[in-house]
Amino acid sequence: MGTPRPLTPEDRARYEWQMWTPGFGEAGQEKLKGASVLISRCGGLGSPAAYELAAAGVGRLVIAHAGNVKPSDLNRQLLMTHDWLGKPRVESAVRRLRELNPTLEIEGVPENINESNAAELVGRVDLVLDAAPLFEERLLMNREVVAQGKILVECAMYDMDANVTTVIPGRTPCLACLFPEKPPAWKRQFPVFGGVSGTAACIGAIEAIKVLADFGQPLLGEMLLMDLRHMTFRKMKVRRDPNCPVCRRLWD
Amino acid sequence: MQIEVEYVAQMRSAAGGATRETVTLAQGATVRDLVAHLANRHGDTLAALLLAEDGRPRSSTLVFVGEEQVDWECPPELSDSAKVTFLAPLAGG
Repeated sequence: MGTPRPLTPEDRARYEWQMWTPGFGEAGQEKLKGASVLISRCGGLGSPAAYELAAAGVGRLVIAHAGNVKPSDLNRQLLMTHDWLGKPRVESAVRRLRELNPTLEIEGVPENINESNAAELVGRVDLVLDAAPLFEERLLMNREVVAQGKILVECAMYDMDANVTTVIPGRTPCLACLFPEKPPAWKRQFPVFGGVSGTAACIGAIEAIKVLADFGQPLLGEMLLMDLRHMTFRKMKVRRDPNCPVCRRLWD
Repeated sequence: MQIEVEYVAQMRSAAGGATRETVTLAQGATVRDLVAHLANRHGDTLAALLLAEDGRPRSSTLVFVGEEQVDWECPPELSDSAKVTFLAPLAGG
């Protein structure tokens, strides 16, 4: 975890209202200022998650997302703007985050997570907020989080359903414990309202904030299932796979 | 005995669109018996999410009895009125 960094008078003014949160305070804010988070990708889920983390003052954000803004991004990818159609998504995201909070260090990487960049990108941060639309990317980030002893906040949605869980290697099941292989039914395109991906994003962001600032009770060994069609929220216990090829060695 | 089944996300559409259904099984039935029953009842689309090509439970599908995930390898016996939830993992972002 990063080293807490002292606040400036400007920081105190900016974060005053959240520092009133019991259990957080100025010490929590200093931890956030010293922390770093990778968000991949920065779409319907990653955009609002990154925006919340920037607003809350996480000191360094690494945003990874390839491609250019398309009209079909704009119903949910809130860091993309109409005037940026056809231009790189990551540039739009970084620009919007800097507009919101110019005191942060924000790095844009115009790539999605892949075999050749996963170790390096995960290595740059304390925590990964997983907002990728492909299981290959999610399992790669999980592998690197476990190998490097980082933290993974896993957020996902489909249609009107969403779920969030937090992985701390050696303390909780990892993603490969939960699904060791890519599920056969998953399709790259899926039904999505921005309000659904944004719900998962805000819950993921507050999970990241709690873990980084060490307060509250994160979803460790638990998965929050959210059915927004019926407004049903359930917290389920998830289990570690004792034969998990990714994290088993941490438990021996 | 009566088992309450709940489907999440893609499972729901594979099971015909209903979020919940009640299934009657013989006393002593396990999660695997329930899966075999559901695969038979709803046909290939749901069966493909529940069972791998070799007929074994699909490892990427999460099954919860009540609020706890259960192990496919040694699935527990179900009790009357048990609530079983099936989740095929999501990756929408």
